Amino acid sequence: MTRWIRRFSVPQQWAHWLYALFFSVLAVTGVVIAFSVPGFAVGEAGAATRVLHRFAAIGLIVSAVYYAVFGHKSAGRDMRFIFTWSRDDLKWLWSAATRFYWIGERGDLPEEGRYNAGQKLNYLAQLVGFAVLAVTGIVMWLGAGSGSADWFKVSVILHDLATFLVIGLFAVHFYLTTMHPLTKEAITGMVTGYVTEEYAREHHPAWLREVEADEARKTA
Amino acid sequence: MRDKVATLIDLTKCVGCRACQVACKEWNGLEGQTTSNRGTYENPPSLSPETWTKIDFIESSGEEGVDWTFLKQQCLHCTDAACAEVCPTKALRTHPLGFVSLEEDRCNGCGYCAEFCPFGIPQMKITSLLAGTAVASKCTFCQDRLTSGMEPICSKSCPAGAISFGLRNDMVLKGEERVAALKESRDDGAKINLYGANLLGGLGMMYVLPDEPGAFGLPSDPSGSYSLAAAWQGLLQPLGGILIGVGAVTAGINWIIARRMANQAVAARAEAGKGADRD
Ligand code: SF4
Ligand code: SF4
Repeated sequence: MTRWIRRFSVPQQWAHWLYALFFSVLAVTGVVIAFSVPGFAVGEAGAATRVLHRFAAIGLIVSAVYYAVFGHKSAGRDMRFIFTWSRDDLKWLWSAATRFYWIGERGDLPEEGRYNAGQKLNYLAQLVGFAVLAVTGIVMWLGAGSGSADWFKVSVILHDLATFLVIGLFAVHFYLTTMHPLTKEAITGMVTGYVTEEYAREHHPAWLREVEADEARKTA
Repeated sequence: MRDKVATLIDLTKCVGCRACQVACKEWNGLEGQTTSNRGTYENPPSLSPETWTKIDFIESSGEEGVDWTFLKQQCLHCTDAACAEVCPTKALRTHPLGFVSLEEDRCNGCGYCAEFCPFGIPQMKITSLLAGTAVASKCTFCQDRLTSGMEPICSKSCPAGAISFGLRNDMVLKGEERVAALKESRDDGAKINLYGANLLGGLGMMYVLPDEPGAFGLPSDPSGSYSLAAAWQGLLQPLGGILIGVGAVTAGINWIIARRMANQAVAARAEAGKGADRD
């Protein structure tokens, strides 16, 4: 029998999928505006796209706040985790990017905890991107025409740069969790909240040991 | 390509009658605005979606009480136009004749033009405050008249002969001659200058200014905004596009290699499994 292990809490799952939903709307409408996609960017259609972008932005911010409030236990744990970095993490990033993700060989890949260094980096960078986009977005929304031209200009450009960052990260994240032949099992974790023991052992051995130690303590 | 045209606005000749201001409203079908007395002849107080050109009354104390100088405000029709550079819908475009056209139907109301214009010209007409939708408006150099071979209505209407219209080269010459002559004949001639002959690749509407640009609230170097806009649109955005392309190709190659390795691993395991069975 396959043993299933809880990987993500329910608020974490909700927050993730809500975020994913609004993120997708924002990314699509944002690209439509930035690259003036015919039929959707110009005139009234463009105005509608911009309105949609703003509503989705509110949704995105709300889903982040939801996680911080209702998932504060997992969120706090996430934060502690992603802000703690060791030499092993850097080593992991290097060998994963040059070896593991290509040929599937672990070699001297350091053992991963709850999140591997790549996931930590993704989480961190998404967080920074989110903050930049939210702040510059608010400046552009509320600051237009209020004589804050310099702030506005800086915000428009930062908003653009941060967009490249988060869409790039998203693409990598999406690819690795749903398409990459060696890691695509990861999506199951976010859909069901659980992963198989084998998956945990292969991709997050240090985390699995922690979970097992916890269980042992509880049953003892 | 046809030669570029331009207007030359000679503020030493402007008498502040506002005939151009009214004619502009008339020709372009812009509504009048209700304003209140602010203790000045200047009216309305600023450019707006219904006011594309407007005379500023700049007051100073002279020998016999108040002295006025006038500034005719409107889009300056930059060659290096920051507004057209940032406009994502191409509602704003630089026309080969040397002006910046505006197609309101294309505008999506983003307001970038209003924020990037170094002269603060485009005005956003709010269509819904709640949704934050708007339409940009500004002087179009009477694009309809110009493209049918007529001069703009402001130059046509000016009774003081302060606004000349013609080929841009001629207008620059005329402006230079006028400035040189005024420098000779006027006691305060030292400060007189031609504004816009070379700024931002050459303005389509130039001024003969009786004083330094700053005295009229005009920036002496308005190029920063355009440089920023050009770097953003011309450099950052394509760079981002290239990065995305490179990323996609890398992912494709990675997928092919990783899949092959994964299949090999499965096959190897199956082999090993068979071996074990036979034992
Ligand atoms: S003055 Fe402003 S609105 Fe007119 S062309 Fe220049 S940048 Fe555009
Ligand atoms: S407000 Fe309209 S004209 Fe101005 S930059 Fe945006 S789309 Fe272009």
